Amino acid sequence: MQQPLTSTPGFEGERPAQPSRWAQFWRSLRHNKPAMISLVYLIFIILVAIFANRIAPYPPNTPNPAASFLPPSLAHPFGTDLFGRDIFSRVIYGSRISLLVGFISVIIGAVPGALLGMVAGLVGGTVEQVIMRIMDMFLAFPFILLAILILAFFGSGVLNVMLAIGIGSIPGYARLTHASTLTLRETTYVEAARAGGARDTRLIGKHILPNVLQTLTVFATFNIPIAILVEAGLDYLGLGVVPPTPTWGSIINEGRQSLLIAPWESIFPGLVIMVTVLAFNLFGEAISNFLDPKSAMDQRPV
Amino acid sequence: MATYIVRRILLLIPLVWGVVTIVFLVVHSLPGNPAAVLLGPFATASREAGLDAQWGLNQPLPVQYVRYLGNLLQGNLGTSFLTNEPAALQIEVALPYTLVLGVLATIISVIVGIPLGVLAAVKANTWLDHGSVILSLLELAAPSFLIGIVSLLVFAGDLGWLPAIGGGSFSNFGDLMAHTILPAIALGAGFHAFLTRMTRSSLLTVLHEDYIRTARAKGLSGRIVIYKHAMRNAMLPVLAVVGLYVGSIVGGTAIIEEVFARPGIGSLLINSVTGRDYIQVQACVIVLALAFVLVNLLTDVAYGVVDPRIQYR
Repeated sequence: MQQPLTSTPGFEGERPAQPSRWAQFWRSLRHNKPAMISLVYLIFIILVAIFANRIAPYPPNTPNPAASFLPPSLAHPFGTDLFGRDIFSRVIYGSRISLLVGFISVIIGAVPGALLGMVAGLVGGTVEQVIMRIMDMFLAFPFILLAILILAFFGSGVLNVMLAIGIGSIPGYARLTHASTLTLRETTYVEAARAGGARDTRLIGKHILPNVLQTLTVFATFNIPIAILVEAGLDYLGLGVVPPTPTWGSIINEGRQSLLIAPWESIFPGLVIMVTVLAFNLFGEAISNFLDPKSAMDQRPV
Repeated sequence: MATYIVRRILLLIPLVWGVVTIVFLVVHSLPGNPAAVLLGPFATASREAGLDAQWGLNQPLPVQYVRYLGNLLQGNLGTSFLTNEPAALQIEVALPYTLVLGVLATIISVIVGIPLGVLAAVKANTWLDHGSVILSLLELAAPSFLIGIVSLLVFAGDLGWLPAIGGGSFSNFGDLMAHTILPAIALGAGFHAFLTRMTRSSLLTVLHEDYIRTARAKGLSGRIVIYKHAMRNAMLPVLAVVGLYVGSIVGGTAIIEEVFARPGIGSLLINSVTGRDYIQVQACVIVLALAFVLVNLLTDVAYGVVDPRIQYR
């Protein structure tokens, strides 16, 4: 007796084995040398942040007047500051706050931003108008300016810095997901789900979110280095994290007074910021090219 | 075209209203007795009473809001705690320095960034192309204050070619430019890197179009094809996103003016934040945000002028 095709045993198994999404990504990454080096560096710097207390050769905040303003040497690879603190150890400890702010502020921005964008795109009407016009108003502020305003009135500190940077990036995420949701809303499968009686919450969770997630991931990957740069800028201005907690930006801020005597205090943490941001950008580009090959086509050489 | 510009200017009104409302809400969401918190170290009973009266802090929020909008409409930005003078006065002094810095940074970014992008696209896959890509990647990754610090150490410190700090004198153009050139380069570094990358990738796409192949097939010289046929279309996407980057110039002035100890709205803002001079902070933020909105409007209008296909409604 013939069985219906769908219940044929082993039907799934007869398909040619498709490499998983991760395997595909890994393969594309292996051919991309800059992205591969960036990934290795990023894993390295994250490990440095986690094990800072074991790696750092000196305590980050203990003064040692005898070692004031020592230039870079084997004992102090990045030199020392006015108080004789080892800049290398401070940079190692600084990676904790700088990376943490980078990651957490992206979550603070992405979650509410994506939610607002999807709701606005799906519900439409007055709700959409109100949400998106408010987002436009926030976008009328340069990013760092909004962060400075929030910190000026709510005070400094790690949590406030994360909030300031995160809140400032909500409108960007909202705009992006709103645009994607508008396109998705018109697709046949969303229409079919709606006709089948699916409610908005189900539509968002089951149909919209999985489809905007790719664009969202790419956008978020590029926002981490931006958050790191803004955090460093806020600390450089002395508005961010409270001293003596070391962050990359705050070490540079402390080095301002002695720039001509001890330029290493500013230069080394600055270079670490630059390399880290570069690594995030290159790795982000690899993700973006993989998830959205069309944009990679735009970069093709003649 | 004229109707389009008028319409865009009218659309500015709700946006500006939104900006000043957000600033109002941030200022008024302070917990506790606002007058005491706002005055901080300057708090005395009489000052608190004075601030209560000036800002009408003892009145309901909607009343305060209407009064705040009324004051703004008359150009009254409040009185600075630190100087006891109108906040607008300090802004008047600082604004020209920030304008000179922002304009010079933009000019440098455009005259360096776009030609470099064209060169990279035309000479794609040569050392020139790779060099420009690496340079722009590094510039996008470097914090502006690092570029500022290094240029300060090299050109003002070691070489001694340029003055290290200050804003220069408006009565002496050479002096003004000497003081502004390094900050402008540091401020514009990210912008010019962005322009180089955008121009390169946009021009590369356009150079693949059929009409470019046709133009080449007709026997036109490479130069004419690139500058007459390709560039006009390649610059449109670049111009469309320039507005996005202008915010980094406006916001970046705060950091760069601090690095070079320049007078300007940005350093005035930071000094007011550290001095807890909230009225001045509020004034600076409003002025900078308005500048950002206006520049964005200008780039949008410019986009319309360059692309005749844009429909004005």
